[in-house]
Amino acid sequence: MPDGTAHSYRYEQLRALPQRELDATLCSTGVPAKAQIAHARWQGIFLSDLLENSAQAMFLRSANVLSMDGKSTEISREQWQRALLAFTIHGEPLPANLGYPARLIVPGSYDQHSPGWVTRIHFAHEQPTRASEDTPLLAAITSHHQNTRHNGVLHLSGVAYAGLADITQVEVSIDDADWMPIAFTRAALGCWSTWSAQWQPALPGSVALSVRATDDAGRTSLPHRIRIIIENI
Amino acid sequence: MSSLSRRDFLKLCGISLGTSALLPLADLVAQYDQSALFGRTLGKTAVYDQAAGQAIGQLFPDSVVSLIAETEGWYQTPDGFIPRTQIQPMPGWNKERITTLSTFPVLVEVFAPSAPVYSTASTTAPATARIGYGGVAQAIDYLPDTAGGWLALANQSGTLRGWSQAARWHERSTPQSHHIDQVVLSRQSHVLSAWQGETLVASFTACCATDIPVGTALLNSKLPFLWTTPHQATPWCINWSNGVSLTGAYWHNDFGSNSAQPFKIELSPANSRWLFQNLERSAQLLVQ
Repeated sequence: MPDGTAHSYRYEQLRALPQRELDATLCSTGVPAKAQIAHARWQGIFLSDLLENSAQAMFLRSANVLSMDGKSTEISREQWQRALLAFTIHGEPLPANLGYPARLIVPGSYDQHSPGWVTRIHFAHEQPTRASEDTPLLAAITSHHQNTRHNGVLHLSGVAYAGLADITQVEVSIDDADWMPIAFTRAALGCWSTWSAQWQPALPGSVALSVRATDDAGRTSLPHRIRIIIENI
Repeated sequence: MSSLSRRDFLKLCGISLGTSALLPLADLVAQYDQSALFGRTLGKTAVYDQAAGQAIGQLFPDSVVSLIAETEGWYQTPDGFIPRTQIQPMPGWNKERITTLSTFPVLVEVFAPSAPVYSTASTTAPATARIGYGGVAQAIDYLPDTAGGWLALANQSGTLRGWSQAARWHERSTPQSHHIDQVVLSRQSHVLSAWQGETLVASFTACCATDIPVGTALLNSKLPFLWTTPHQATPWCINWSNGVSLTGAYWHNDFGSNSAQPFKIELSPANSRWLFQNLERSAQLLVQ
């Protein structure tokens, strides 16, 4: 804490506190070709619950989260107010590669703001050094990979994610034709939406497939574009 | 709703048989497999439960649908009803490439629902144009790959315009079967009729501009295709001495209506192709 006080918890103590649950998507970047995106149900304690008895809490503006690997991640007040310090994923202890023993899950932010292997959190009065937070926006085809060979009707599916914004439209373009809105499931904020579409190829050969999403702020994602080779129709 | 016979249907599609006396035009239809008629959606297309009914689904652009019948501006398909203006009929659609390309340059025709043209031989490259069924271009080279290869497409002067998947194009040559020496356009009925001497050989439903001057014009030039914009290659261009251009159009199915483009007469690609191939160098255009 800024006044020099510190609160120390053992892992078992934190696990003994009432555990809360959070559905959240982690997304690495808005560039489809480089993006990694995953969705999970996390269990742990909200940072805001840990701080609720602190008299200083209302004056805190930023926090630095320290990880075992020496990394430091700065998050804003808005971020920690919705952040869960997670110990389990889908009811199972976090595996080492996902940040055991504890991972801070900040829903709606890029996953660089959700560090794993958390050991310490330093709160400060100062505003975060970043002026504002980047809001994720990504659409991706997950049912097929680049250069997949396919026969028959194409059942396309994927995800769209806009952080804490709402996805308002998902569109698919086949062979660079007009974008066509398609059905998607409207998810809770901080969670990905899923979409699906069906298309009957008319001829064998290579086909370019693209998907993009628009959020309620009017932003449109970069298209995720792959090539599929239709072998038989 | 009344069902139409196949002949009625073909007439409405603009590949009319005319009357039974106009046998030569049957050759045009006979080029195609008549066991089924298909069409492609010209854009994202809603499907309705009945003509002017409720939307029950939608189709991607360039989806191929089987056309069962047409009535009052609507096509009936297995999935439901689609406005006529949203579908380009695809006479001759058979999914099979007719010829393989052997020499270059060669005139090639789109036999897929559409053929995007990319700036390089890759679907990840920017698409610069999109040519629909029946469109025409000049191929100047072939680049093989694991999915059928790529054709280099050029403009009239041989300059590269882009690359397109080779599997969507074919070379098709049909010999001249008639010697059309006069074409008559009725601006009022939008009917274009082709005459060989005193014999009416064929008649087509056209889309034509309202400013086409009444009178006679001589054939000026014929171009199998013309890149009229960076994004569109217009097939089967027949230019007349009065400035009128008669072309194919794969981007709409609004034949029988007025065209917004001045001095323009448009036919379906199949009809314009037939006229292009059978028109004599000395032919006249008579506008009534």
